[in-house]
Amino acid sequence: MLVYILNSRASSRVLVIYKLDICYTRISTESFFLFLKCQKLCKSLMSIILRPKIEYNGDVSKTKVEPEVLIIAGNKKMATDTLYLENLEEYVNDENKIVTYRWFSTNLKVHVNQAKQMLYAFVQDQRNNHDNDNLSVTYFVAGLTKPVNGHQQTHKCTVVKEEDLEAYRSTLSVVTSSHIYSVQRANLKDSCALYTAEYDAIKESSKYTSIKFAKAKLRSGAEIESLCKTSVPQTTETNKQIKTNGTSTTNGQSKPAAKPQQKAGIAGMFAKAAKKPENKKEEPKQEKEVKENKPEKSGTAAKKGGMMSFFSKQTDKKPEQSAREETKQESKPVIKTEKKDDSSPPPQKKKVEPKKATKKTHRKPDSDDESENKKKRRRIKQDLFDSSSEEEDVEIEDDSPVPSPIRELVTVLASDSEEEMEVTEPSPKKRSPQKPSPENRENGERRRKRTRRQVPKTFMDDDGYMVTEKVWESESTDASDVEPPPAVTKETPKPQQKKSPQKSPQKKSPQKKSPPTGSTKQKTMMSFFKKK
Amino acid sequence: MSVDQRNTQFCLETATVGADVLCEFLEVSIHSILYLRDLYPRGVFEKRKKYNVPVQMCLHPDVCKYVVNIVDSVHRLNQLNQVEKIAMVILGPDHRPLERFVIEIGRHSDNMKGDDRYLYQLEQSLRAFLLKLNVSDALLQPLPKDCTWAIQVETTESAADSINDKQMVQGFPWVEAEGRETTLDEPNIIPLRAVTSDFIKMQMFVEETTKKS
Repeated sequence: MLVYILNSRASSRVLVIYKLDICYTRISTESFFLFLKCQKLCKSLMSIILRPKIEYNGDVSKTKVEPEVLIIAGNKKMATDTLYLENLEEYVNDENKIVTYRWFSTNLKVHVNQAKQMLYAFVQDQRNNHDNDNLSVTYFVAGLTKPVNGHQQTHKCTVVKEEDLEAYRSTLSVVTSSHIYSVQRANLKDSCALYTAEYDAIKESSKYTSIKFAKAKLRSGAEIESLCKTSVPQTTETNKQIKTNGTSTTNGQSKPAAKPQQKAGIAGMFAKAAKKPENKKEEPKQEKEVKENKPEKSGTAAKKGGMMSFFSKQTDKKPEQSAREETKQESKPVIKTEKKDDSSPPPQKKKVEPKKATKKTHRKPDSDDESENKKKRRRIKQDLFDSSSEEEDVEIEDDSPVPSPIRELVTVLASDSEEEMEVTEPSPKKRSPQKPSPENRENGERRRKRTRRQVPKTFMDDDGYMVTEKVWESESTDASDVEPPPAVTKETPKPQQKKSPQKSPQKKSPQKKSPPTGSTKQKTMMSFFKKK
Repeated sequence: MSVDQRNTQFCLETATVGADVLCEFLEVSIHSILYLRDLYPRGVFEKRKKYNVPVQMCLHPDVCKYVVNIVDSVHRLNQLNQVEKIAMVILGPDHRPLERFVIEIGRHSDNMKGDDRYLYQLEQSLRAFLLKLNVSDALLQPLPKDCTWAIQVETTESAADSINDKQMVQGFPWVEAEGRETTLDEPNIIPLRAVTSDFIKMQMFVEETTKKS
């Protein structure tokens, strides 16, 4: 409790005298020691006076003697004026610490420049007044090097020992900055110890630096959440939805919130299209209402964000299907541009893209020869030289002509993309932007499908052994056909989806929930193998 | 799995992790002391990263092999839970011990806190150990030239016997230290650091003779 008082009140420049008399706190020896601890803890304390307080009312017998503690405290600035020398002496001489200016500024919560001055004053004080010559000091020197036979000048920042300081400074043509870096008793052999000394302290020290970028603002958790949403469109889930609602209501003016607003704009458009004009600003509220009123719809809302919730509320179930597709078509371009902006894929990857696309179109037709497979393997090896992640792509999924940043997304939607594999005519250009949208799949279902899958076949050998071989089999469906129930578990939600399209998002959302991590990749691989 | 079983398993795990971490740290600190006390020329050392901070490591293959052998056998002893102290002794030109960097290992307590699952805190304290080693030369008198060094392990006789066969096979037998190699003349003790965690309980100090030259 006392510590709290001291910390919170010891902020003014003037000496603060705390009177902690009997009515305030019962002072005992215990609490006195607590005070002493406080003094250690809160370096700003200057002195503690313990004295009895005598109340004399004229009658000696009634005289009360109460202990009173006077704590004379100054604030940190105060401390820096007089006390920091003692602090430093304690750190350097008694505790044998390496005191760097950064560590010191963090520790005393003073500005770095002030910390440097204090360290310098300490060194001077020790050498002049205390005859303490066994301090070792390092200096930070930055400056332009002298141009050496035609080479360009470079700006060098170095930490040098005191004895090398002048020699080093003379090697620079212009010294832009030169200040004390650290004080310690040990004669340091290299800079390792300096780094180690600071390692645990400087993580949080950004507050006291003089280097500041005014435009940089810390993003709130909600903003980051909404940013995640933009990079992984279509995969929003209920939790995220709630959070984005929060963002759009609380801080609409900030940049990252722009995306949700954009979506809301589209949603608003459709709201109008559905002949129920809505004020855009009311949307977040609306969405919340939807969620509260119809919790069974939350999946829908979650899936398409604002848009879907609108349709689920405002339109009937039948038009919803078509409306949703409309929505998606509308929203698609938005997503596409977003991605182009966000991810400038490395040129290398672009180069690989067409290759794979052609490979895929080769693969699609029902030619089940092994040479195809071999070709693929060879290409994998080629890719291995390009980049290792590329190779992973090929091995795991066989179709991901997507630049790396979207790649995460692809793994998330792995099940989707694998289904897409079965779609006959995906033009390679269209593919990559389309991929994230599940709509693609829905369209694809109406088309004719050709699939190739590996089926284990067991038969009797010539020698009479049972042999199990994996054979590529192709099958095709009619355009109107419902896809034959696949043997793979990942596709099980599909039939259900057909029967009740408006519930499908609910089914899908758990699949997609999984964050784009390594584990997802693993999952994809598993599903790939299951297929056999 | 019952709670008791899980606890014992956890204890076993932490014990093995502790032994491994200790041996790792032993290797790092031997190299650091070699560097810091100028036992070998600085040119044979190279900066490596350990515990997220730079440390110096001796690159000479024979030195490395020797250190690895030491660490291996200490690990073996440690698995038997029979290591009391590990001391790195710096001997003067006349083979008189001048300094002993001692790591004293404490017994594991049974009640685990279990709050340092990812060893962050342990790593931090090991960093602090290294930092203390780095600044220890401010507390020590400079060494004379031509010093040499040895590792002494305090253990029980039975444990020493039990590992000795294996050590023989490996060509790295341990011999009993003589009394005059283990005791210093009028020593001072300089405490460096102590750590108490679920995995390791140890303290490090330096014994230094007052009659160095």
